[in-house]
Amino acid sequence: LIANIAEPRPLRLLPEIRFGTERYPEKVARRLRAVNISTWSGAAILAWFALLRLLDPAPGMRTRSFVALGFAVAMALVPLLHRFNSLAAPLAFLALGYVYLFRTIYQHGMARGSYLFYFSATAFGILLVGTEHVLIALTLGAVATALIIVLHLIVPYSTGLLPPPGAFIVNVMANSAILFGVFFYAMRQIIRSEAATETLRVHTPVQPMRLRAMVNQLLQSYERTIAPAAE
Amino acid sequence: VRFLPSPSYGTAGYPERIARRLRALNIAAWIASALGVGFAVVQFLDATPGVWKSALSNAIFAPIFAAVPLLHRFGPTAAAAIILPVAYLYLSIGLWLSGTDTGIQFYFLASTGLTFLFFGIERMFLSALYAGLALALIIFAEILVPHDTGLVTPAVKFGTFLAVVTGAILLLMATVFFALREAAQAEQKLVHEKEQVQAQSRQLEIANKYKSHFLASASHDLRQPLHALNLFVAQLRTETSPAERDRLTGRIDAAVGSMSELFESLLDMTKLEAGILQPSVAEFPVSRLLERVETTFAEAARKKGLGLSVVRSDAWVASDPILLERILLNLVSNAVRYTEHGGVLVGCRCRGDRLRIDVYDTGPGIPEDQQSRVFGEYYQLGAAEMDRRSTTGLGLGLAIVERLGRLLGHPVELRSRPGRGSRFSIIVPYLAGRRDVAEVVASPITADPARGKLVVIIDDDPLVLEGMSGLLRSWGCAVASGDNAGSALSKIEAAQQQPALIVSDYRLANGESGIDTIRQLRERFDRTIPALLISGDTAPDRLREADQAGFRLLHKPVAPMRLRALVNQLLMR
Repeated sequence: LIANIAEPRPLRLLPEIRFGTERYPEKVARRLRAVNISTWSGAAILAWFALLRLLDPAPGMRTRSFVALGFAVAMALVPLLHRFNSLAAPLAFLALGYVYLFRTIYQHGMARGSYLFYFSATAFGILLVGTEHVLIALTLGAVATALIIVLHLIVPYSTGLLPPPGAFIVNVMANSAILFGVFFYAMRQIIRSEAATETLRVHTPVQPMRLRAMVNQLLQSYERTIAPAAE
Repeated sequence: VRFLPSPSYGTAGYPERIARRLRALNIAAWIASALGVGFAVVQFLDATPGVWKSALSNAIFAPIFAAVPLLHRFGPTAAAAIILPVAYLYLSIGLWLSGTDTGIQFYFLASTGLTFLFFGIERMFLSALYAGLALALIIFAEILVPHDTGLVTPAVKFGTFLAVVTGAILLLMATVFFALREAAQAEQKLVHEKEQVQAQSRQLEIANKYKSHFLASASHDLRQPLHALNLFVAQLRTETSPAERDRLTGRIDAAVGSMSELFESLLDMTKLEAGILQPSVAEFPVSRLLERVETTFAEAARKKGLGLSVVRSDAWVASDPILLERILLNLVSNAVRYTEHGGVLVGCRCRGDRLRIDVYDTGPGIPEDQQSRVFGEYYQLGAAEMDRRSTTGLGLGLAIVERLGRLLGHPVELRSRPGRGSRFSIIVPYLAGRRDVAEVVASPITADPARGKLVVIIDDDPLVLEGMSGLLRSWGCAVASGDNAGSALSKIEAAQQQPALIVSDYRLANGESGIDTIRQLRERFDRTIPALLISGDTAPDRLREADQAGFRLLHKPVAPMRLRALVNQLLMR
């Protein structure tokens, strides 16, 4: 206690990326760290949107700001779910993302191209839940497909809210950045594992040293030293 | 006749990792081609004005996609580098004809994954270039292409949208799955390699532990008789009493015998390792072995206060008598060595067409977890705890037993209870009908074959040359000795007698080999003079070389009686 009082823990400006992942095996913990980074980045972006909308004098923007803030807080708290199991947080994050996206597209229309995020979210979702959960991944894909189709049916191309200039291009670029990240991660993982395997092979003797070879040497040295002495 | 092409087409010769990607590309290209053909057929049958353009596009591109695997011969990325722009062109035409409401532009986004998959991060520039091209096409489509061109009906348009969205999501998911699965496999391989290295490391640690114990044992067991030898020789120099000299000579013999036994077990192992021991199976009564066991170990058992019981048997077996005897002697030797109280029992039991020869002892027994390891080389029970006083043997006896058993096809069994004793058994083929048939005994040697024969001795060590010459002369042989073929020849000419036997050291001075020297002498006299090699080199290669050249090889130190037996045998041929 005295030590704690004497040396208080420094205040952390950034959350710990490993939060809640310590008790999982490294393979799972790596995915959960990605969940932490994604949720906190998502929370920061949503908080930024909330602030922008709060400063917008247009009618209805205050409500939208509070909704965005609510989603931001929810996203920021997602890593707390790691204590239940390794799937709770990724699925909660994806569910929040899908719902927020649906709500945004419903309000803004299809013109911004935000629906494209369903493609990248599906790809990213597989990365977060892992390839061993095929059924969950397929469900995520089916949900994304259904949501795109529903949006295509019920949401007009433009709802009257003018999109900011270049919004479509920004969304396409952001989507490709996410996809780029997913594939880069997978490819880098392959290269890293293969390089490590190769290094291991190079630095490991092909066959362990044979004891009998040493014994033969010993015998010969006995022949040269002890045997003549015995004679 | 194959209805479906093989996905492996054109992938032979590539490493598995690349081949796997090319197979995926083949499958994707052929699916695209089949869909193109299907669309072309349906659209050609459609009378709607303008649809023929789409049909024509499909008809042109379908065979191009089908031919993708032919491009693999130009390099692992050739097909992808060519077909991706072609696919973009195909999609762009489709988009231009039917409008963005069909969602065809989603395929551009879904294809970005494919670029990474086919080019990898090793060719990041190509991956980024094609991904960038796909993204530019999405943006251009959004800006330049109308939502609805009026070519297709709303129902067809919606149906196409459904199919495209589902297809694009599936394509993207399949690509991500493929990439992540490859990553997982690479990681799994790494884990497997690490486990193997750890297992090898553990093996090395164990081997190192045994090696340390072996070194301690070998050092002790060879040092003891050597030390005794020195003492006996020192006493012999000053001793004048003939009786005492006889006693000391006997002791020296015993010390040399003890050292020889250790070397013999190591040499047996070396021979087994070299694979030059060939069993010579014969039919013989097992009683012969049992008698030998009794005479060999009766004295040792009596000195330790143990009872040695050998139960008589009139069974006949089919085996190599010499190798089977070595197995049995090793087992009984171990039993006598490790038993402190009680006794050792040797007996046989018939089991159908098999005879089980059992060696029971009332020794300390072997814990179950060590029962498989006792047959390993240099393994001794409780080696780690063993102190110097109790160190006995090199831990090769049971390893030799196991290997000889394997060589002869005779299973070796072990049953043991700690604190109660052990039973080692060797199971040999039993000849039920041979019980009453007398054994054919080799005719005794009636004359000394060595007497008067000229034996050529070649060795570069003058002391060995002198010792061997003296020994052979004491057996009545004429001797012509030299340190090489030339000097030996001059002695042979002086003796004016044809050589009957050549005894040569394996490794002679000036890099000459005993094998070559024997061949030179045989050529000089134009006949195959019997010959044998003697060497201090115990490497399995030497044994193999001598065996291949057709010579018997004896290892130094050679017991005089053994040498005489072999000399007689060769001279009698």
